[in-house]
Amino acid sequence: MTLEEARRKLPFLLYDELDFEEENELSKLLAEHAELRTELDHLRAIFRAVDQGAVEPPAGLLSQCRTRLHSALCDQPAPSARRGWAGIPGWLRFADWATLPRMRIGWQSAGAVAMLLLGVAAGRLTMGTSTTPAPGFGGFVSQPADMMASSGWTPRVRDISTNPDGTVRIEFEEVKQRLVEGPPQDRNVRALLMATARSTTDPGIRVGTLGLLSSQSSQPGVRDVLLYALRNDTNPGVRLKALEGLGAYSTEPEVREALRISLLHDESPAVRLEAVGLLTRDRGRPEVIGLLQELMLYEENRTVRERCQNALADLHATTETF
Amino acid sequence: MHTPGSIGAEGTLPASATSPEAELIRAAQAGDSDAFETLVRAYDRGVLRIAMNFLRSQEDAADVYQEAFVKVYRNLNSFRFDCSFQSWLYRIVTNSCLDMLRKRKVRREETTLVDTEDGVWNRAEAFADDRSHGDPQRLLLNQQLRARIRKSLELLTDKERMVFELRHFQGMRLRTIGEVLGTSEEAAKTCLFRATQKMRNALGEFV
Repeated sequence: MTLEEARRKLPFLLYDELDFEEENELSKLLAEHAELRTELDHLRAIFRAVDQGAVEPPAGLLSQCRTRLHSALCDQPAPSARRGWAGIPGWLRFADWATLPRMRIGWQSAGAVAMLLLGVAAGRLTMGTSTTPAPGFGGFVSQPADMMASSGWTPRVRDISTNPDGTVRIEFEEVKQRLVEGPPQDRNVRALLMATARSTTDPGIRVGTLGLLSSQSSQPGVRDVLLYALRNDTNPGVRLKALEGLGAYSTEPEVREALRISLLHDESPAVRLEAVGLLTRDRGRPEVIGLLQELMLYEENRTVRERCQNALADLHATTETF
Repeated sequence: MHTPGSIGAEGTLPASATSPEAELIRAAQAGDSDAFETLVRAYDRGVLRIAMNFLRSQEDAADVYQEAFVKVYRNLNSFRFDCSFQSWLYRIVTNSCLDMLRKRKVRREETTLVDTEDGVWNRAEAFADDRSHGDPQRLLLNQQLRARIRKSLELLTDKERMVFELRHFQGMRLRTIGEVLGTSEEAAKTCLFRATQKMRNALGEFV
């Protein structure tokens, strides 16, 4: 392998895309030629900078997309073999609705809300005067109005259309207060906790929820919820709680990537401090040295810097890059 | 429900007929909406990340997300397990992204700069990590670096950029990238090399 060929292979060494023989040959050349090593270091720095430029979807966008998709699929003509999205358990669908206070409202929905309000007004006007359903409505229309008036029950209109006979068809979901009790390990309770962790606006509830989920991070989907909270939650206490739950999985690539992002970008020193601890828990990972050295370049918090310095010393590495 | 990590984690092999993912796909093909939802949730974060990085616009990324999954829903019965589901899905997503970019070029909406009363504002800065707000120096460094990287990425052709971003931002192997883009691993490698050289030249002095 000539030096020029070696230069061309440098990026692929970093991409881990060389076969064993090529890598071996390149390693020998790297050991012999300082300029090649310098070039590799420079390339590594460029890659690190590029990786930093990755854009993470902002908090809430994913839920927004899921809700839009849900509506779009409901509008799709169901292929013959499919039952459609409607087969999803209702309470799960509610969880998605609850995560999205500001969705794109189409004219249909706006019209539906307007018509529903008219219905409420009509219901209130007729309450106490007559409970006889209007002809053609089959006794249905008075029910929602009564329920709304008596129990604070709120409908969420999903669709509205006009039937051939001129009657109006309103598809809505009932949002009611309910009590669910059960062990946190129960599949349904866990699913509700997972939905709550993403959707509730109260950070105290989010912390409590993640606390309950932390002990179950081996369960399907739970780790995803913890990663989501670490990446997107605006409250540092919640992010710290998520870190607690992820601690046992700090050697897994996806978790390490989330820890790396937190270490470099999280505004909370407490979170950065915890991330240093988790990333250095496994001492057999040399890539963490570069990461800590990078952090030392601009970390201003004294405690985090000290922790970082200690970690580097433990790993027998300097605090500076050359 | 399946964990996202447990299905399609490698994404390089054709879906095995007996893998949990294949079972899910078959169930979704047979009309099981829970299975389809599980598939969506297993991959949708990655889909959104690809679209966000490539298009640098929340609205466009959300449109690509929706378009891609609606296409998947409509065409799921045509998935024949001759590649991984992830590759099949990402091929749809990358094509949608490239289409969106082409449309955008036609509409001459490439610029992210918007004139406001307070001066020129870069819409792409809206994606800057607002958690750095507590640290002005870091924010400045991040912004400068992001701006430079963004500019450098614009020097790449659409395909080079897609390959480069799939490698760097999604951590995909060249074989998978080739599969996603419907090309050979060798062609993906050449494309990645060209992209890397361009990025190196553009960012060399800055880093």
